[in-house]
Amino acid sequence: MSLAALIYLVIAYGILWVVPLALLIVILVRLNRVSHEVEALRRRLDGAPGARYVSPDADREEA
Amino acid sequence: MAKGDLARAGTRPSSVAWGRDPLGVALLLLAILAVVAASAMALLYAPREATMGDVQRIFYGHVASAWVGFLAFGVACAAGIAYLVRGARRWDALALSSVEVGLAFMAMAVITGSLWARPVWGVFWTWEPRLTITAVQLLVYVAYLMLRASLDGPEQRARYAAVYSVAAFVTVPLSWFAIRWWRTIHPDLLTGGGGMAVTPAMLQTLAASLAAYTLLYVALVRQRLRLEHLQHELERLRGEAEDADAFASSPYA
Repeated sequence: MSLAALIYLVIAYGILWVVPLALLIVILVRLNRVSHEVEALRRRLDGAPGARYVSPDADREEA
Repeated sequence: MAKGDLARAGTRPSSVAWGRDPLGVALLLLAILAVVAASAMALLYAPREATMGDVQRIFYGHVASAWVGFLAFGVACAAGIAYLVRGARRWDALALSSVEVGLAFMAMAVITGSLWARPVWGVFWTWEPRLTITAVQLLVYVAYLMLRASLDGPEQRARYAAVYSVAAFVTVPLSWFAIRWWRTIHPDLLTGGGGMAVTPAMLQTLAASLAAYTLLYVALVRQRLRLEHLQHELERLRGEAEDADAFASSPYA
């Protein structure tokens, strides 16, 4: 295999590796951020006055 | 809820989101290994094609990513039908996740196809039937995401998106049969068209690529689905927090 062909194939397969990797990183970063927000909101709601009065089914929904 | 409230509400959560899904992590690692192995087979194991030379090795990744694109749009169509029949939001989440991942794979198929076409056809792009339909297909599924973004109500958004995903699926058989129905220069592996001599080692490499990229699709959709479920949970908690705030400021508090 010539060097030019090898470089060309590495570019082509590089795209096939980089695009899913970029997609995965974007998903994981968003997953992490949203997870932190959910945890923070849950803790805030557990300490908020009237939170369980307003949504008595919250525990059942979470379960 | 203000950002400051979130910051005050607590410090770092006990664990990061994706660390709680060992099966998902295992699936991802397995998929990455499979893709590396399939790429190694394409570059090192598969024989050099007689007519096109080494550039034909792009074929394995190109066909596998196009297959995953078709599969993803098929899953979105099936999930759309399931949503219309059952009305459960998990089907809408699956359709959205599948379209997003499918678009990435179809874009990969177009880019690698262009890189393969340049040395073989002399051009990166030509308006022949398969390529034209694929370009239209990409736009149709980008429009699916735009449609979702333009609708506010979750129920209305899911219903319209489900109908759209079923209608948009017509581009898949159209693209698949384009090389049989119309005169085209695009190679057809199944009928032996396009002047490509296929050996058993080539078929083994193609099978490995198809399996590896399908596994990668499943692993990515699983993670994307988890994100969608967490976002639904966040919306629900935000509504609950607003209700709690309203209650706290009322005379009954």
